[in-house]
Amino acid sequence: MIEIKNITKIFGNVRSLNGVSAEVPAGSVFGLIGSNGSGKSTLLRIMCGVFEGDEGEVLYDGENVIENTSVKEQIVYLSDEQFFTSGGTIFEMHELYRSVYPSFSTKRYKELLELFGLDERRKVNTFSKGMQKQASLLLGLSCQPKYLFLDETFDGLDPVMRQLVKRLLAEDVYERSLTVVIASHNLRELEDICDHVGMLHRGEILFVRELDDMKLATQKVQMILPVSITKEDIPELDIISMKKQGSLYTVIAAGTEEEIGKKLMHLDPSFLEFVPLTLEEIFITEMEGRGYDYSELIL
Amino acid sequence: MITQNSFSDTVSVSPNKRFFNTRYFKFNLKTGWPLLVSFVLVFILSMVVPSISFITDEVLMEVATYNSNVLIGRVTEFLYVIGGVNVVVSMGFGFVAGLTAMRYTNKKTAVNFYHSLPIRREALFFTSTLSGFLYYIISFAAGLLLMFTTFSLRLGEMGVFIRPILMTFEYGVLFFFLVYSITLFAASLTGTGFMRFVFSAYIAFMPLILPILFFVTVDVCGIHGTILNINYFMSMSAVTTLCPPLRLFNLFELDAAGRIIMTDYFCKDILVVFLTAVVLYGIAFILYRVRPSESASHSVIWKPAIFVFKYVTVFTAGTLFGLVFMGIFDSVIWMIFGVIFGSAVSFMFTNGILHKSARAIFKGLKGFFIYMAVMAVVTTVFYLDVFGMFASVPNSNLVSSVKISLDGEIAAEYGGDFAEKLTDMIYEDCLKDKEILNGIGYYDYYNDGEYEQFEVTEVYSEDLYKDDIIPVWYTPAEMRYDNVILEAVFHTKFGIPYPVIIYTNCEDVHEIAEYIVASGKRDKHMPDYSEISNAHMELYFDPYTDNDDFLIKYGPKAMCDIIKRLRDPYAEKNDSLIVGCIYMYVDDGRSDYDSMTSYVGTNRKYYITAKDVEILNELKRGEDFFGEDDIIKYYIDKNNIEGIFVVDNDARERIYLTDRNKIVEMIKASYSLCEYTQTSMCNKEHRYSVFLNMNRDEGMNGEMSEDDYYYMEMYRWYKFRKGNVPVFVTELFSK
Repeated sequence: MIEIKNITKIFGNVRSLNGVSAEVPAGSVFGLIGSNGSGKSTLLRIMCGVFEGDEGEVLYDGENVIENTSVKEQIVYLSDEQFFTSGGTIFEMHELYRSVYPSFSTKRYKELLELFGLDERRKVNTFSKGMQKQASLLLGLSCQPKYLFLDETFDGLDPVMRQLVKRLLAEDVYERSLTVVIASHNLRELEDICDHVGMLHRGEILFVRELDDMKLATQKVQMILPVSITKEDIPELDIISMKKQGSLYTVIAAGTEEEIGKKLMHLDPSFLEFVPLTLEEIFITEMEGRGYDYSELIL
Repeated sequence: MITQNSFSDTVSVSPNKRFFNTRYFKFNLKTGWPLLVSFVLVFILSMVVPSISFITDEVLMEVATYNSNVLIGRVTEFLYVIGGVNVVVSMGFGFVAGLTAMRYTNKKTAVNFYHSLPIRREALFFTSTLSGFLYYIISFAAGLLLMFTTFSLRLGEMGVFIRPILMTFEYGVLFFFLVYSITLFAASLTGTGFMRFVFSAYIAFMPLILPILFFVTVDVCGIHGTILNINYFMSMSAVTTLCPPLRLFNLFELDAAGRIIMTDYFCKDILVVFLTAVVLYGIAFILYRVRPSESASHSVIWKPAIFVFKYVTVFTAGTLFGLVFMGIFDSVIWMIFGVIFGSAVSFMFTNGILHKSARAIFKGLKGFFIYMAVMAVVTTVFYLDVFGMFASVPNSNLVSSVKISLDGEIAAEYGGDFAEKLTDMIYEDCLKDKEILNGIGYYDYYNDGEYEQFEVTEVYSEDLYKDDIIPVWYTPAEMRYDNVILEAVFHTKFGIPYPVIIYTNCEDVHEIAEYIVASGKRDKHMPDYSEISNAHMELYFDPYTDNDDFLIKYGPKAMCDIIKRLRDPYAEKNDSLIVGCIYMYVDDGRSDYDSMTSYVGTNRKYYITAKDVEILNELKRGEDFFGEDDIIKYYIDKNNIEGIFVVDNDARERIYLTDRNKIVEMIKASYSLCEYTQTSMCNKEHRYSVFLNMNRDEGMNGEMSEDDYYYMEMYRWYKFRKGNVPVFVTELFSK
């Protein structure tokens, strides 16, 4: 488990992180979300021991990460801008990773190389941005870390490759209890892989929740009603949003399916269906429930 | 700890060590081959190729023609020269390797990557820097080995080449390490390649600011006192002491035959350079260790370094601009304008490069104004000498000893109460109400040719000479007898030396001299120069050209024997046993023999004792000594001398004599002084100069004119011995 304890980081006059605390359960896929400049990358770097917080600490199973090689051997950090040795190849980077990560698996490396279809002897600076991302990912996964930190990793990957990466991550989580922390401002990329999410806003963490909990607490209903209604007509329902298209109403409300279903049945809908919520919709719900204007937080 | 590895082929590595990571080191060595190859290629070009081209058939023929020692001498010198070049090349590699080792700290992406790896910063630093060091060692050793092999195979000599090869290796590694450490230090302070270059130069050469500072105190602030040890800081010694890379120059010298050699395997300079490198390397490590990762790509990481860089630049530029404007317009107003202009421009420039933006040139303007105000106040305080610090000598009760010398010649040092009394006397007689001139002032004076303004007061110089208290400073033709430069170094009880140089006259130092005589301390401390004239002789050496009548032919071995038996020119200045000096002229045969100036660069001055005189007298009896009798034999008897000039330096008159008997008499009464710039300790007979107008061949003919009065290339220059001025000479000039 990763414990983030009261991390504060100041760059010059800018307080990038302000007393951030959170816990990342082992074997989880943790989505760190927030708008540009919210402090996601900084927090990620502090978690990996690249930066040192001005206050607070990050513990891995109780051990501080700073200059702790035994902890860092379990961590692979893939930043938003990939690093490759000057004029180097994937093979050269493989040599580098192999020299410093005790858990590096050449077999895994070969498998992933084949899977991604990359030429290990070709100079990386001739690769496209997406190919460089793939190279970076395959090297990181070959290290077989216990903790994998990804910063905007899905940017630049084509849809097929995104699915492949997600599948690989899911396999490692399942097989090796890999803990993944992904920082992104794109909720759609995270919703089908994360099981935990934390939201940063202006250097402060707004919440850390399990995604399932959030999904259970909020429902999205589509129904067709014979008469026209407003929110005030169903005061017993905790409505977060309600949209109307002709006689079709889409309602997002807090509560379980059972509770909400009961409260809507007296309206005598000719059609009523619970549909899955997107992560974005869940956040709208969560943020607005906390009094934030969602449009300021994401995108 | 890694858990649940699903693959069984994980790499087995030794645990990461705190200070070194072997596997990462191996990776570095494997991937750093371009740097290694570059180093090797450059060393082949700078060592092996010149070696091959040096050993021509012509050179090889010399083996058969001449003594093999001659060839070995030439090859050894070549190796030392090539060694020197490659020590400089090594310094360049130190810079390149330093930048390479720390290059990743320039880029945020790279820093994020490397600092996320499971390698401690200590291990990252030491592993990276050791890689660069190893590249250099391998390439340098390979180059030297190839060069050694080249010489050994072609010339068949091996043993004699080992010393220059090993010393080249030692010096190369040493100065590589020094520059490497400087660059690493600079890299730890900065975050861009350009700033690393700038800071490396600053760290290596910033102490040069001191001579500038003291130059300013003299020329700008008008402080002529030497309480700030101005002369020391203006000296080359200070520069090479304070700037370790320049210590390289201390490690090369000329041997007795005028060839370049490296000093020694181990000496103080080597130790200083090594310790400096170790300290800088240590500081570089500490700075790197605490350097924040987020500072990557910042121009300068630490605020104090920014401050120092900015204001040292502003100070230096302001000073230089001030001096340039002063030099051009000769006006204090223009100088002030130059200082302000230079300071402002450099301030904006440093701001621009520090913040990597032209828009930031006025950042920190308030600090600049404070700096200018402080400088104005400090300069005014210095200029007005508000605290009376700069025109005096230390308080006499603080002086533990005082060392007095004239014109840099042999000094005598006095301690105790005597020193206190002397200090007071120097102040009263020579300094009080008078201007103190330092070295710069002296040279300005000298160059300006203002010597005409000084009156001749020969009576004082005669008195001093007669008393044999202080040998009167020899004044060449362009100077007067009584212009005495008195150097006094006051050693305080706190151990701080205060050198004072006073441009004065004999009258001023007379009181001091009388006091020294009356004290009876003179005999103990002051050298006796009574033998100086008799001890003078010339030694020439030319191992390459055929015999020539003008040269005394000592072979290399005899030459070395002589040098070994004589004293180091400056090591024992205070030795009371010293009775005089000799001038040994070493001609390596490659310079123009006919030009007397060719000797100037290769002559040596040796102080000698009575025992040395005995040795020289023995040598004099040898067949190859070329003394006065020889001169008469070769020049007079063979009609190789057309005539002789005698010059009265005081009266600035000259007489040309052709009478053989008078010429012989003068030659017998005089000794040769080939180095016309020589300011040797001398006597009143040096009022006269004697020039033999030689007629050895066509090239040596010529009339002495006013224009070449001071350029005596065609004449042998003589001085009369003590008490040996022929009567007819004084009579001729008195007419």
